[in-house]
Parts: sequence; C-alpha cells; structure tokens
Amino acid sequence: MLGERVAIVGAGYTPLRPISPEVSFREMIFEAAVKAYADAGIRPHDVSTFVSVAEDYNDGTAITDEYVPDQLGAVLKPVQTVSGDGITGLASLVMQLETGQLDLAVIEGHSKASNVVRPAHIQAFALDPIYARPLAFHPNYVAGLEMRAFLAATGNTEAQAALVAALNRASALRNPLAAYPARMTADDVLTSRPEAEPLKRGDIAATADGAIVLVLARESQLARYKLNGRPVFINGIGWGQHTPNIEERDLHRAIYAEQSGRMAYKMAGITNPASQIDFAEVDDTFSYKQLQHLEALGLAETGQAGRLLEQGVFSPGGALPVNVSGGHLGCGYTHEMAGLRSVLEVVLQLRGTAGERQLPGVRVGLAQSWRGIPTTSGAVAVLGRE
Amino acid sequence: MLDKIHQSRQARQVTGEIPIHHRYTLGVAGERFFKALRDRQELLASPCPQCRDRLLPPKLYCERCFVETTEPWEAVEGAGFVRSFTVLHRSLEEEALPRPEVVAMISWPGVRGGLIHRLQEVEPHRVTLGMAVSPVWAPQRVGAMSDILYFRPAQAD
Repeated sequence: MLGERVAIVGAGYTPLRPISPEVSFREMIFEAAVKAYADAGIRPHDVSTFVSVAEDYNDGTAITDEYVPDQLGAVLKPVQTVSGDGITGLASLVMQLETGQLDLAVIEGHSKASNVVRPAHIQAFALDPIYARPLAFHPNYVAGLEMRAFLAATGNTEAQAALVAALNRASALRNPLAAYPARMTADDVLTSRPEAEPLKRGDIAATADGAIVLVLARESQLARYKLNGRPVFINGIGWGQHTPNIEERDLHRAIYAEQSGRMAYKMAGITNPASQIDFAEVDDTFSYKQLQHLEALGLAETGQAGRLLEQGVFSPGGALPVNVSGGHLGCGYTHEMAGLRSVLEVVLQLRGTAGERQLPGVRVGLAQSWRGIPTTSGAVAVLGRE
Repeated sequence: MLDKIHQSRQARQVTGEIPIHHRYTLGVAGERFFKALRDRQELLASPCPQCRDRLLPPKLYCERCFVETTEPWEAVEGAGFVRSFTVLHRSLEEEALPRPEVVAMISWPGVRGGLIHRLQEVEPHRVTLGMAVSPVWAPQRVGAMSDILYFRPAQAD
C-alpha cells in the first residue's frame, strides 16, 4: 500500500500529428506545460520536482536531460530525466512524492519522431553489438519473431491481430488528439504490405509528434493548493523488465507486463483484474502486442484475447473497453511519451471529459506501457476516481 | 502572431548526424565462443551448476541463478531447430529487399538460448517451426558472427 496517495491534478497536451515542421519539440512542451498548469490551477514555481522521460538518440542530442528545464518552468528546480517509458517515469515521480518531502510534481513526455531520419538505425543500435547487430537486419524482425511465437503458442490468429489494428484506427475517429484515425477492415490490414511476416504494415503503429505534461500532488495537499480539476488517483503502479538477450526470452510471453501488472494490482488491492478494472489502455505498438498484453495483464485468459475481441468485449460498449482512445495504432506511437498518452486517456475518461468517446460510469482504469523493440521493459498504472 | 508560417516550405530546419564509433569487448566468454567458432566450427555452450541449463551463446554467469557457470564448455551437437522465424521484406535502410529474407531464432535440444541468423536454401513458405537446420560456414573465418554465412535445412544423413 502507498503511505499517502498521489493524484494527477492537471493535464496539458498538444494534439498528435504525423509531422510538425513549424514547431520545435521544446515549443511543443511549452504549450503542453502552460495548458497543464492552467488546468491544475497552479504556477510552475509552486512545483517541487520535475521528471522528464526521454532518450538521447530519439531527441538527437547527447545528455538531452540538460535541455529539459527551460520550457517547463523548471529552471533552478530539481529535475530528473528517466530514460524509459512514460509510466516508468511516472512511477519514479510517485516515489518522490511518497517521501512526504515534496508537494507538487510534474512529469513531461514528448515525441518529435518526424525529426528522426533513420529510426531503424536507433533500434538496431539497441541490439546486442556482438551477436545480433552485425547481422544488420531491419529491427522489426524482433517483432516478427515474437508475433509468430505468440500466435503459435496461444492460438490467437493473424486475422484477430489485424482486427485489433482496424478497431483501434476506427476508435481514433472519435479522438480529436489522434493522428491516424481511419475506417478500415481487418482485411485491409491482412492485405497490407508484408514487413516482417507475419507482421504487416497495417499491424505497425506509425509514429507521431506531440507533448504531454501532467501535474501530480499528494492527497493531503489537494485542498491547500486549491486545485481546479477533479483529481484522479494513482492507486497502483508497477514496472518490470525481462532480459536484453533475445535468445533468453520466451518469445511468446510479455513477462514484463505480467510482472508490472502483478506489482500494480497488489498495490491497488486488485485481485480479479478482469472484473475490477472498468477499461484499459494497453500498448499496441504492434497489433499482436495488444492481445499479448491483455493476456499478460490477466484481462483475458491465455489464448482468449482474440476471441474476446471478436465478440466485442473490448469494444467501447463491451464489458472491458480497451484502447477507446484509438491506442498507438490510432493515435500514433510517440516514443517515451507513449505511456503518458495512455495515462492521459485514462485521466480524461475518469474525469468524464473524454467527449464523444466518454465511457459511462467508469471508476477504475488501467494504463500499460512497453518500451518498444528490442526491449522487454514496461510499466502499469491503475488509476481511480477515488 | 499574425505572421505564423502558413506554407510548409517556409518552415526551416537544419540537419545533423551523430557519428558514433565504438569498440565492443567480446569478453572472456565471447573470446572462447568465437575462437571455437573460427578454429573448430563449434558452437560452445557453458553449463550452469545450479539450474543445469547449458547456455548458448556461452556466458560466464547464469542470468537466472546469478552463479558462475562451470566447466566443461562443450559444443552443441547435431542439428538445431527453428524456435521462431520471420520473413523480412525491408533492409535496415528502409528499402524493399529484392528477395525477402528468412530470419530465424535457432536453438538446440538441451540448450537454453540460441542464435539469430538468416535461413537460406529454402523457400520462405516452406519454413516451419521446429524445422531442423544446420550452419553453413564461411571458408575464411575471423571469429565473428559472419563466420556463419547462414543456416539451411539440415541434411537427412
């Protein structure tokens, strides 16, 4: 259990876009920060600590954390950059607040993916330099190996994975933030260009640009700061990592998601996730990943995620809506920010401000992240209205 | 604010690159693995005294038990098998490959781990999970992954 609960009390964000040629990533962060502080009803000088999530290679700058403070109003304040996905950064910030020494905290994530000229080179550079990298394959092969192993081990199908992509792109039609809304069918995905078979173009989330800033506070400080919005509580948070050695992995399993789910559930007092969680935003950087993550998180029995998807269980009107935002497939994959985008959707839903895609009566939502290929790390946050 | 950019060609940018050059030490286990690969065309595995797994590529320690591996390091025997595979259509430079390439995770019975490599001399649609495969060695070997040119279906002999 947490000593004292932590709440998300403000959110600011830019819409996600495939390209953003007229604005720098620091200007996007500035926009998100101004909106987040206005949303929470605070000024940046009230904030005690800041966390940024970023990778040097994606930002194109060595020691990129040096570039964080200015556009956040964080000059001369404690700032820490977590080189990991957004929810891992969020966990770090929650722990800082748990010390009881700090009142208000801010986390920032951004993506300027359109400025990364050779993203495959960055992923290839993350592969083992002695055994894997010399083969110089396009790094999507890692996802291709995983997808085949996952489908073979669980009985989920390529067509069900394709349906994930079609449904998420369609859900994005109701999300004004989304970069890739589309009306498409599973057949469109199945017949799209093969990339790393069984993975096809339609199974892969395209990247997007954007920035998100969230404001956090300890529960005891909510009244003191006269915060504006309805607080959304972080009732559980967990993270996990498997192994960097691809040959050591159970290619069909997302062990990092199993581990981070268990950790977050224990903290949130959740014993039966499928019935206690009202809706979820799970990582769908590749279509099969949504099915794999749902099973790893105990939101579907092993081998059942695809069938439940077909039955509409994960649709907006189903028993457990999943990626009602459109997921990364519909919104765009946003590097380290991706996990925060999932958290943002859960926050908007729990506040009741998700517009035409608002789910009725939701009280508990889950956000799950994965750091992308070739990693096996990820995190989970369980958020609640109370 | 009235002078916002309204034509994309007016949005300016500069380009840059990160020229990174690095050395990667093979380490004690890597030296031994690649020497055996180069000199004897063998794939060495190192045994964990605790879980009894044989690790390929060999390591000085078992990452699951956190104990040092022990002697003897023995070569894997017989054909490997395809644990998973993918048919890759794109190069690292994002260009369409003229001929799609089969990339496989290859393991051996009684071994934990395995090697990632290309699979050739077989049509992609004929590759199956569990298929028996063996390495094709480079005539001139230098002690690197390139000493294995590729894997191919194991000959039934």
